[in-house]
Amino acid sequence: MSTRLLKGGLTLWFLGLVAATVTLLLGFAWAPSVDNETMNAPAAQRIFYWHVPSAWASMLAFTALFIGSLAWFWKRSEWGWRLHVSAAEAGVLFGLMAVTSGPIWGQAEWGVAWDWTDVRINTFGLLTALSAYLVVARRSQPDGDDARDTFSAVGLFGFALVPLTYMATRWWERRHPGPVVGPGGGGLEPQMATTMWLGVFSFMLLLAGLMLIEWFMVTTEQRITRIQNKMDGGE
Amino acid sequence: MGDMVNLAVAYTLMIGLIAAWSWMLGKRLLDIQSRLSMIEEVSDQNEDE
Repeated sequence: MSTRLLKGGLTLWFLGLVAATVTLLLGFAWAPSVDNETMNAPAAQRIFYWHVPSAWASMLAFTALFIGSLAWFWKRSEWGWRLHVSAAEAGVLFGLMAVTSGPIWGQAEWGVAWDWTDVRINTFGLLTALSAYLVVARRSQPDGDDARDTFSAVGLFGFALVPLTYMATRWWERRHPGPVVGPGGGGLEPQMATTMWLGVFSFMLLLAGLMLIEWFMVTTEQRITRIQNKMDGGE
Repeated sequence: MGDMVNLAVAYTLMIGLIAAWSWMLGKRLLDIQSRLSMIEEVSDQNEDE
């Protein structure tokens, strides 16, 4: 079972890398440029083809982190804890990608990298920091119910930021652009939309692959602990 | 032209993050696999004794 998990995870990760590379090539060579009148930094706009998919992947990871934390807290569910761990790890990678590429675009487009008055930017930064805390803190603690309770409580609290981050540009749009697709979206040129959706698909593959690999590692860690306890004469 | 630099820096950083994560994942996987096979070997030896 766990070998299948690992093989599946590695395959999805690899396919995600290939699809993300194709997205990057299409974003540079096929998708049209925005005109100078629409944006101050038309070249930097192409950051969008990885920035938006990585932000969406991280929001899904933060949602999975909430579900996992809730399942552990409420039902003491082992799969809930594994989901919490896998989602926190994925949240850090995709959150970091969005949180580093966004300010670089902002610097070119707005002339300022980080706006402390923009709710979307700040709550997203907080979510990524929270995920990083969960990963680092968990790795530095021995596994146990008390530690899991603490980390799950942080995961549950952090989820309040997810709907706030999602709605922020609709309620208080300051600098971060509003939605470009879906209800109330600004719309995209067909080639730009195709490239962006391929990017979203690539990052969903990467997210699924990474979470399966992390799931395998948590399961294996637990197996090692069980064998160790058995050898020590415990349960 | 200036924003081309921002574009290049952003993708270099994002590619760097993905590459670093792939490398760290591989390293952690190899480490955990070797720990598992080592402990299983010791456990089997203990059971034989």
